Amino acid sequence: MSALIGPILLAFLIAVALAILNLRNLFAVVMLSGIFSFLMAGVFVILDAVDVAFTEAAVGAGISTVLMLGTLALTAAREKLPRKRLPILPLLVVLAVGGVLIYGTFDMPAIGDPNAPVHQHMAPRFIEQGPIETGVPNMVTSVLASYRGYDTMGETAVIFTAAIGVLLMIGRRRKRKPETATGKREGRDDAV
Amino acid sequence: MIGAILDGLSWALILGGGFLLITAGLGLVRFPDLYSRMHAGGLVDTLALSLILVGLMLQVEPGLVTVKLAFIMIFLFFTSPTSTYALGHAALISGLRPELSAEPSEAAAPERHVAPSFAGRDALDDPATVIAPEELWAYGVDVESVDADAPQAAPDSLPEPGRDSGDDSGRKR
Amino acid sequence: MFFAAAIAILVALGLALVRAVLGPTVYDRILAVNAVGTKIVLLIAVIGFLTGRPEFLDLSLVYALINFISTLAVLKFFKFGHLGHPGAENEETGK
Repeated sequence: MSALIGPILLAFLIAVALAILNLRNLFAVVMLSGIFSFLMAGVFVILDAVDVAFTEAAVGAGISTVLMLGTLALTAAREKLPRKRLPILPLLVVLAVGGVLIYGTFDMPAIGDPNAPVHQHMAPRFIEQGPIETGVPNMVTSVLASYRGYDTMGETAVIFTAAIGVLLMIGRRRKRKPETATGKREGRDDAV
Repeated sequence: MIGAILDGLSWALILGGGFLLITAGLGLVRFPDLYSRMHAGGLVDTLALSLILVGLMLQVEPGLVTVKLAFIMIFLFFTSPTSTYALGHAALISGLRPELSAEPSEAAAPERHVAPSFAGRDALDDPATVIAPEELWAYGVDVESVDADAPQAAPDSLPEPGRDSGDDSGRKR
Repeated sequence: MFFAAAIAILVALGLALVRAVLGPTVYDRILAVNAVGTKIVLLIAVIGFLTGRPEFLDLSLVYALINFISTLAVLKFFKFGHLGHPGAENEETGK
């Protein structure tokens, strides 16, 4: 019975996606994509991917909505209508790629199958040998910080660099003082 | 004995909460304007989620899970009305009037009264749109600079909020 | 019983989605987003009980926080037209 919840959430996802396609008001689209993220997080929880759900909630529903709104404040609020021509070639490409992807899922093991390669190959080693080899009691931490430590360090460096770059680019406007009381809009002058 | 009573109580709370949730959802869809929808979506939701969370609390042994549920409930109990209030305040201040409180003179007025929400920005280009002087700031116009005696501001003199009026033509390519 | 609660939450979720898609004003959509967030919080809590693992309630807690903060941020945006500038000193013109 509880297996019904997942398909219902997926149906909601499709409905929201179609609504996003049809709407031309971009603010409404931003709101709906926040809803999409929330629903997606619910789907992730049902699939037992709790960490992904965490990320989806924080990034998808929280940060990206705010970032999108900040972007829309600087640009137009309505989407331009596309050209009235049936896009045959893109449709064919999408159908072909989608068909190949669906064909690819036929060979995947069922969710939670203990005989799946991912549970046979590396996971037992990490579970059994991880604390001995690395001395880290937590399984996830041992993989994250020891087995793939260089990878994690690189990731952190990339994110750190990106944050520094963004801060340097957008974080230092409004150096000069506004002359009048209407400084709110003048402050946007040097921001654009 | 106690366990059976608690179980029955929890059943009643969860089912009552579920019923209220559906009621709130129906109200959210069926009610005529934003403010009445906010009653359904804000008030009833708060009660419904409190009922469901208390019902869930009665289902487990007292422990960490109970504390977490209590935290969620307390948190939602305070934040849900707060965000409902903030929403209503923002909507009212932006000029969205409740539909049901229209006085005869206001209802008979032919001009279209638009909320300066971003959905209504296109209305700025519409000459039929009339904006009350006290709402001009919501469009990004400085209230002090607007002559209060002027019956209405010409729509084309309004800068679009979120960008400047001056450099707009220069940026178009 | 948990399943009945989950179905009720899903129905309410669908109704909130209808409002989000219809919603004539932006504020209706914000209301719908807030309602959807609240219902997802409840749904995650109930799913935890449904699958017999109520340990994942932390997720509900985080969602409740994020939902509240993002609602307030969005409302601030629609009220002032921007999200504030870093180092702005006199941005409270909307008061």
